[in-house]
Amino acid sequence: MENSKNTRRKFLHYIKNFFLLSFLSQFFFVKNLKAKNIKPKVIVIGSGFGGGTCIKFLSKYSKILDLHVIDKYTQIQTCPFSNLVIGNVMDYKDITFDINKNLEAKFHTGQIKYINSEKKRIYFSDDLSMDYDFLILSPGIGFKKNQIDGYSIDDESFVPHCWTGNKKILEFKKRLNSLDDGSSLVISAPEYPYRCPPAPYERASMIANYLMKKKKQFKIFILDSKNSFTKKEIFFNEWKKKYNNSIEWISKKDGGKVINVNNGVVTTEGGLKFSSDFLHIIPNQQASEIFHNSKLTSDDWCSINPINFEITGSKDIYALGDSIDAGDMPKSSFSANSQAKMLSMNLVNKILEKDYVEPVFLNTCYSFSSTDRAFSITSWYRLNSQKNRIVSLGSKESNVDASDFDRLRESKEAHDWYENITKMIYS
Amino acid sequence: MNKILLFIISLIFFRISEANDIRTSTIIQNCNVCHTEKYKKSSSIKSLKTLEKDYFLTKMYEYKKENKNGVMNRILDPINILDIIEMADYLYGK
Repeated sequence: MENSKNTRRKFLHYIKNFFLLSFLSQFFFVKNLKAKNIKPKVIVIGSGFGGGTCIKFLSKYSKILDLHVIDKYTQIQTCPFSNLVIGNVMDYKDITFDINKNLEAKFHTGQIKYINSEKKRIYFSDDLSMDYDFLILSPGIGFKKNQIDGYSIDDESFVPHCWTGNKKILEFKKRLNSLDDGSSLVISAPEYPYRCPPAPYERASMIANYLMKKKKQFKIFILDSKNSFTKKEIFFNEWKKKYNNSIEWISKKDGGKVINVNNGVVTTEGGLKFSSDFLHIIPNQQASEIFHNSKLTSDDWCSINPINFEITGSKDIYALGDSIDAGDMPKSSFSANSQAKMLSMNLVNKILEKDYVEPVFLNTCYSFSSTDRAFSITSWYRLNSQKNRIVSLGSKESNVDASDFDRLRESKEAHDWYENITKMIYS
Repeated sequence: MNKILLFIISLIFFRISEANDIRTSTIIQNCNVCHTEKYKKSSSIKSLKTLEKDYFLTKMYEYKKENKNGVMNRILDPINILDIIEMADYLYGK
């Protein structure tokens, strides 16, 4: 009898423990699942200076968010300093970096076809898809088509524009290297706005730097779709000093805008005709294709809320860098880096249900006129009083008549900036 | 007395954090574009964290009053002395 009682008691004890353990394990399992579920999935598209900075910043918050990165490349070739590769000041390898995968993030390589903002889903070109809670777009720039008769961006018989991080810079240099003594070169500069406003003029300088080192005579014509450009007086002064006026600029109002290309002969709006040995067309630009394919913008540039960088009319999708309308801010890597920090900071605030901080931005844009001569333009930016536009607090340039020492000092600062920022993002 | 003097001087300059709606931390995030922690020892651009507070303040005042139109002089143009002191306090403690 006693034994039977004990057995029953033991049995009830086991049953009780079994249910208690089941309940507790279920409780912790559910709790754990809940903990996992409240970690929002943040996807960053693009690993350039803007996207790369977001990834670096957000990877420090892996406890509160599940970070994913998508890029079509596994290596990044930077647009900043690519003109120095053309000028033989730096090597192609110096501006090429592996994407930094030693961060708290999951990396995916793939080409994106479009984004469905209602379903919060990204579709890849191989028909796979991925869902997100928050999406950050930093895909770089896109190009307008059919702007010049006879020119197509896809026609490989033309000199590659080299305005993106693709690998065509070596083809560009090969063509430059094949030029004979006394060659005539034409650069068609685009309309505003476009990526890196002083870059067409720095490129002309670096082509001149390259040809001069090769001891070749040359003449470069810059045919412009604009009537002015940033740091113009400094460039003019440098061209006169270093290249004996071998670079000539023809503004839009002087008939410089290129409208037609036929058998290597360029015709401008003013009826001028140029036959060149090296025709370099820098296409007019717009937001990257992904914005248009996904109906995230109906304009050339993507409109955003400048406090948190959320795309106008597209909940939980954020954009930064060259594809957005950032008010007075130029499309530069420095700007993208500054925007990326403000965006990331306020996305973390949103996830933590804290108030947004008011952003403030900085841009410093260096340009080179030769191997060891650089100059810059600087400005701070903040929001206007209505908090709907980014406005400049006033930009300031290097002195037009700066000393050789100052130009050398700025070239060193530019190299140091580039080294520091690429180390920060890619190492 | 010094604090009153500093305050009066600061009112002369336009202040980037006007009305105190911009935090010092957001200004410093922008400084870190160049002044990263991963800098080369020979770099002309040092990490702000490696500096002493007094050195930081002295250099900032020097940049602000110099007449060379260098990058730092231009960057500091809309930043007044009170901003600089707040930045130093934020970076190195009060």
